[in-house]
Amino acid sequence: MPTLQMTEVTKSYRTDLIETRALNRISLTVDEGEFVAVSGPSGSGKTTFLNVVGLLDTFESGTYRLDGEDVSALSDRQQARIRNGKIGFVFQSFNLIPDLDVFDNVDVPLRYGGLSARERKGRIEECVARVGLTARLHHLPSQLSGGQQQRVAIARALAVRPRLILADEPTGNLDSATAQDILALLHEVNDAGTTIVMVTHDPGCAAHAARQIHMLDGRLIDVREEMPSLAARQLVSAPALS
Amino acid sequence: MLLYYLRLAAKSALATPALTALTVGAIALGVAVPTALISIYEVFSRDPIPAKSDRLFNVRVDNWDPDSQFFDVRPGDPPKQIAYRDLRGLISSELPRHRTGVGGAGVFVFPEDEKIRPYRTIVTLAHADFFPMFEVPFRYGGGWSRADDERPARVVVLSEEANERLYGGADSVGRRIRLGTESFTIVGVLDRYRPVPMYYDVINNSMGKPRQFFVPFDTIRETAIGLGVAGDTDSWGNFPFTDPVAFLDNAEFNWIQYWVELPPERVADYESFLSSYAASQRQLGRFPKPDNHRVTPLMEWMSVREVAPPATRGLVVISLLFLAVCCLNLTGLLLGKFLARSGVLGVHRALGAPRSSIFLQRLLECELIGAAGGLVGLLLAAGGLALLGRSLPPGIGSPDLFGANGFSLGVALALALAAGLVSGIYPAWRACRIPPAIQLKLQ
Repeated sequence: MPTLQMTEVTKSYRTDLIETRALNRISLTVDEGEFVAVSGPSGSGKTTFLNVVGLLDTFESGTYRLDGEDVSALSDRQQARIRNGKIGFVFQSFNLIPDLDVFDNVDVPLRYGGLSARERKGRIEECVARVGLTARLHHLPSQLSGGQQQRVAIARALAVRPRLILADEPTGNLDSATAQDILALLHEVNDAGTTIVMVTHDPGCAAHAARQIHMLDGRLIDVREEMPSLAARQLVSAPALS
Repeated sequence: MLLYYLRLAAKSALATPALTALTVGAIALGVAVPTALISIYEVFSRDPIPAKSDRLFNVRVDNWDPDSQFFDVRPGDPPKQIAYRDLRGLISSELPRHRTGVGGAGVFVFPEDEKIRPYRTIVTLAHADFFPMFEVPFRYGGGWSRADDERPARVVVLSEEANERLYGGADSVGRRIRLGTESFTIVGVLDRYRPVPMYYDVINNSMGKPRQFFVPFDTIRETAIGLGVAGDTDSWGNFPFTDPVAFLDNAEFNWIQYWVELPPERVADYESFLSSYAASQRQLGRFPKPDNHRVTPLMEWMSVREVAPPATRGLVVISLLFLAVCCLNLTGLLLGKFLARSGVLGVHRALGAPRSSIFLQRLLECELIGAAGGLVGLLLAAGGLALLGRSLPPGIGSPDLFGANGFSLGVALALALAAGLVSGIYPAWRACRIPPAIQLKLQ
């Protein structure tokens, strides 16, 4: 069963003067255990795509099934339940809660999941150990390096044992050595069976994924299937160099 | 989960200490003024003797001029006090379980200890029933008997304050003290006794302390002692003041508050007695108006006499409007804060918080700020009340009259939580309505 199945999903942003189609009839299937990278230029719709996949934003038409469940028209509470139980988020700017220490940051999704205190403690210690930060359990985010903060974010994403991890430019704010560490960590997570969809504009980062998808003007192009014809079209339409 | 939300709310409040201090300050100011005023109003209007206030009645009869309405009462009411001759007439009724007149008389006190200089004071004239009727507590000894009323005996009851001043707080029962020209035997010393309001004498001393000396009422007839009527008096007619006792016995000179203790079901019987009494007086050429008496329950009497000044209610309303203005300002501050922290809310949404959780968390933060503001406001109100108590003239009140107590705490917290709720609902609602994708962009 696919983890993620989108069919003809469309999302537009409207102002009084203009309508911008951020997602243009996107269809995509991601199987369980895949590591997919979505890349594309700025404004191509990558973040909108990730927000829709993560149920952080709505869409106008099409269908979206997550882990076999149609999530196209859920209530706010149902969406929150699915975000909490099935999706882990890793953001470019880490998005740790600055007032909470590492333990409490990882605890947040577990609290919303309604786990018992003992179960939460076990999971937090396990996930923080997995990202190698046990010694920093009671440090605030401001006391951690960027790489360490992203590790905490990954621990937080893993804590709920999600079916799908959505990573939005997870190495965007990191130096190259730390970025490699984070990518290696994501690989480990993927190897353990968790599906990962990662948005990135960095080709080097995208190359870590087993499957690369390109996004342009709100459309998805599966590089594995369509790259030759896309490249040909881009060559034809490119202006001549003077 | 509520405790967890409270913890998150506290951390969020502490994350912006300056803004939190500002919001706490706004609530504190807004809460302090109405808390102080409501506390004052409560002091004025509280039931001073809840166990039996429904059985205590103020009694008035109408001996006033047929050609004019008494001025200081509700239209149609008899005068606010009764005359001495009516006191003597009414006291004869055995219908009430207890009954007493309450009046004031000025006299010089000559302490036994010559180091203490003589001083002038106002004593309370009362009957033997005064003490059991008003449940007056004694530290030493007790009141006097009805037989002492009849004689009248030269006996006196001292307040705790007088006993402290004159005898250093020791048991002074049996000792003698000179009031005016005569020596009185001390039969009792009151324990701490501070009815608020001082309901049995709301005409003269509603917010003051009990007088220092209590003596049998009819000692006022013993002119040699030198007791002179003190307090609020009203009279009509032109009875000559050549003989003080004859004046007391005959003049339409009202200066006594009269109290009876009755089971409520006996009030009708007592009113019949008053009608009979009025008829008998009419035969003597008094009470020219149609039968007009009042048997007024204690709490109603305090309302009739406006012990709680109506202006206080107006001030409370104005202070609540001030609190409303504070709430409006607070709404703006909280809205700014919540929108500025939108990114954090977005993270919570992404991690599984539904809108309702975000709304509840933000509202709890408002309530935490409200509670803190309420406590600070209570301190401000307590300071204001203490200052007010100290600035009152001795005859009107005393430094310990007003003060923060459990009631003030309840008022301050209730107002503060209401203010937090009212101020916080809109910002909390706005904060939870922003789509998480937008909130995360703001992180």
